[in-house]
Amino acid sequence: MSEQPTLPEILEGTLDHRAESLGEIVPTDLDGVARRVHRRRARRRAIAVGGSLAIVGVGAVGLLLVPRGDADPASGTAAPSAAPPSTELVDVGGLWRCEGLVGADGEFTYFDDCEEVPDGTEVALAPDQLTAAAAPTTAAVLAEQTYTVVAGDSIFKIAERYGLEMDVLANYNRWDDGIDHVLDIGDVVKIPPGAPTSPAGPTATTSG
Amino acid sequence: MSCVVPTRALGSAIICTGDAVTFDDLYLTHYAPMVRLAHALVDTRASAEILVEDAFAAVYERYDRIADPVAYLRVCVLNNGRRALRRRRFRNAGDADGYNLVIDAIRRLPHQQRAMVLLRYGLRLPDKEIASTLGVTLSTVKSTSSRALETLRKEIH
Repeated sequence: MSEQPTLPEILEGTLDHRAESLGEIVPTDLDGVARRVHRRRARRRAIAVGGSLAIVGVGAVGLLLVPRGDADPASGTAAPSAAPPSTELVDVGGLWRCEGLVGADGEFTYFDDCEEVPDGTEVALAPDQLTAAAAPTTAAVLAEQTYTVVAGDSIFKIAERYGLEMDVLANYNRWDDGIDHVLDIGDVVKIPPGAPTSPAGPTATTSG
Repeated sequence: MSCVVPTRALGSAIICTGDAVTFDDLYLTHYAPMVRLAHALVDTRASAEILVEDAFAAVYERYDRIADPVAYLRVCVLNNGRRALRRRRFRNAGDADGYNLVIDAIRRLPHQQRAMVLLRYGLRLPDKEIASTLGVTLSTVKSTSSRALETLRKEIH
């Protein structure tokens, strides 16, 4: 009678099986890494909001819809607009669809080339974009906020509180160790302009 | 300089000590094992490769300031995997065969326990290296791994 494998043997066998299912893996050139580095730097450069029609996902990776009348949507900052964030756009023809980082102060950092949205296209936004689009007032969007760390906080919790990705928060605070940064009680964390939600905690303040 | 060549699947990177390693060398040596590690956390090879490229990008940006680039790379891959799992896009490994049930159980573990399991049973790292990689004590590695095994034992058996 054969013996049952032990749990460590099961784990090793399973992980080996999954790894071997990939076959041979040959490193490609470094272009993919270079593109990732470029994107990470682009995210850090972005600190401001811009856009002319609809901004979704303020403060994080977002979606910008720009009228096609703009000569080159990726060439620079679009004129700020008082148009509120849209949760759904139907039959939106005449638009460029651009993905990038929405910040504050009139700037939108494009990740890739913008795509033309064919006339009559129905644009359905993803649920997470709809959540972000429900951002409150313009005043809250444009102001930098600070948050004072209390017991039990983590970068994840603070990022969640403000609807941000952890790396956006880490980059904005210029933590050398990124999202692995260790917070101490009393540390002041800067919340980038464009954070879509108002703070729920008692120690947050808004400035500028 | 001394080099160790682990023979098993995930840990097939050649690990050398006592010599400066360029970023290109790090990439060539560790790309494949990191993709295999990432593939335990996400469903497709393409997703695993993107996750690993992002980890290498993070290492690249801090390369001259990182004391242990290999440890940093592993942590980046595990953290990127955690983010992917949080988005719930990669919850199930696939058809409910025995292998995928185990992979799904590993994915459901708390982050640190999952990291311990993947480093110990995937990369076959000794506990001491797991401790230095994750920045925890040896006793934490042992106790956390023990909790992870206990959880997995209940889920798998």
